[in-house]
Amino acid sequence: MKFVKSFRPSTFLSGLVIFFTSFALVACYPDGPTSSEDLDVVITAFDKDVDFSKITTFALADTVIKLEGSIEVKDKWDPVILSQIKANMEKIGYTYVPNDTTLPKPDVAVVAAVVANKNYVIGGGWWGYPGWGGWWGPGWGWGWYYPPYYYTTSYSVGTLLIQIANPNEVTNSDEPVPVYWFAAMNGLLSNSTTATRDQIERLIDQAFKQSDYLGKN
Amino acid sequence: MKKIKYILLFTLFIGYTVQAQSGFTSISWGWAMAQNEDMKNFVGNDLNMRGFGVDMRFFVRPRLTAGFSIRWDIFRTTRDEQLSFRSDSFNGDITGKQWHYINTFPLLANMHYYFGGRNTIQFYLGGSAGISYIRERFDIGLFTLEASNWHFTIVPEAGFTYPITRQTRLYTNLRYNYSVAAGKSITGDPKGYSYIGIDLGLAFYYW
Repeated sequence: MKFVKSFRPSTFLSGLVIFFTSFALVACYPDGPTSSEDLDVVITAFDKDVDFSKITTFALADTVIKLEGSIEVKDKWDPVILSQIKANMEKIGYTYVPNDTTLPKPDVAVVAAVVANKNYVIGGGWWGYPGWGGWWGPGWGWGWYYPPYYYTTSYSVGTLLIQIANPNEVTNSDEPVPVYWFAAMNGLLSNSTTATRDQIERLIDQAFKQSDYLGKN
Repeated sequence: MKKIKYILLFTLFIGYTVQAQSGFTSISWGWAMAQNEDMKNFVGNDLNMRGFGVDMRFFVRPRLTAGFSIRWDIFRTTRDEQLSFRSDSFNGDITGKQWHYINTFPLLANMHYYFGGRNTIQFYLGGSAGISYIRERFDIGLFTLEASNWHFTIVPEAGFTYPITRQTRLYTNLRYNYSVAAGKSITGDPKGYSYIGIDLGLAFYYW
């Protein structure tokens, strides 16, 4: 039996220990996200007792509600958000009714809200939208029927929320308005205008795409 | 009284290992593949190549070793598919890139029997038993669900060593890790874990 004479086990052992220690320090959760797009999440929820094919018309709030967060959200993205929601609602067969009280009440109301935070906690709650004019009372809250979620993070995170609700089902402002459909789109905030626009459009499209029970068909 | 018994046993074990003049320590890199449904559903059944182990064995008879080992095996997979929930309490869907991880850390006592001479290839058969700390983690976007539990584990094993120098041998084995279901996984149910592993490394002998 020939042994390799120049081989030094102690040196090799030290090398192995260093190699495996380095490996150990970095490897617990390897190959994580590599781009901000990897961190986008879209959550949708719906009321299983609602027949969405019976809905015909919708109203869309003309501003995006800014929920309280640690980062100020500017109005500059409101047109992008609202037009993308409107386009998706129309694409699945619903008819848009402008916010005009001389027209008949729409079947449902669609409201969008945004919040941006660092190290934050977000939970389910009430959004008030005072701009409906005479259709529905100005102080009415919007009901939240699903479990609230929360988390904390050190990143700057934006969340866009959309609700399809039916204020016609309640008769006074003490009752919560039933929410038929809810979407929360969550992702890292970007400083780039193009990236933000793409992200908003992509996430809204995804929210509707994964909710194939919506629509007239 | 029970404590004293454990201390006595531990002292005897330490005394015995110090007295034992021969044995080896192996350091190995491992590949592993999930076997049971719970584990395959969560991390798939791809070969994961991130394993690391240290095994110390002492000859208690000319062909029999007793010892202990620590290991670390990492399983991971990424998925993009839509998660759908339909129930009385929640109806919804979630999309986003998902990362699934299982980290296992078995701490085991072992016993092996060897065939073949000291200067040639030496096959061995044996097994280990002990406990494993197993951590399961699910990431989607910036959300994380995590659960960790201790499991009783047994590991039947077969392998061989091949001499490189007088004190160093190539070390390889095939093992089946079986950890019984325990605790609450991230879905709330107790989960068991079983996987096949192959280790390749070096054994450093002290004759």
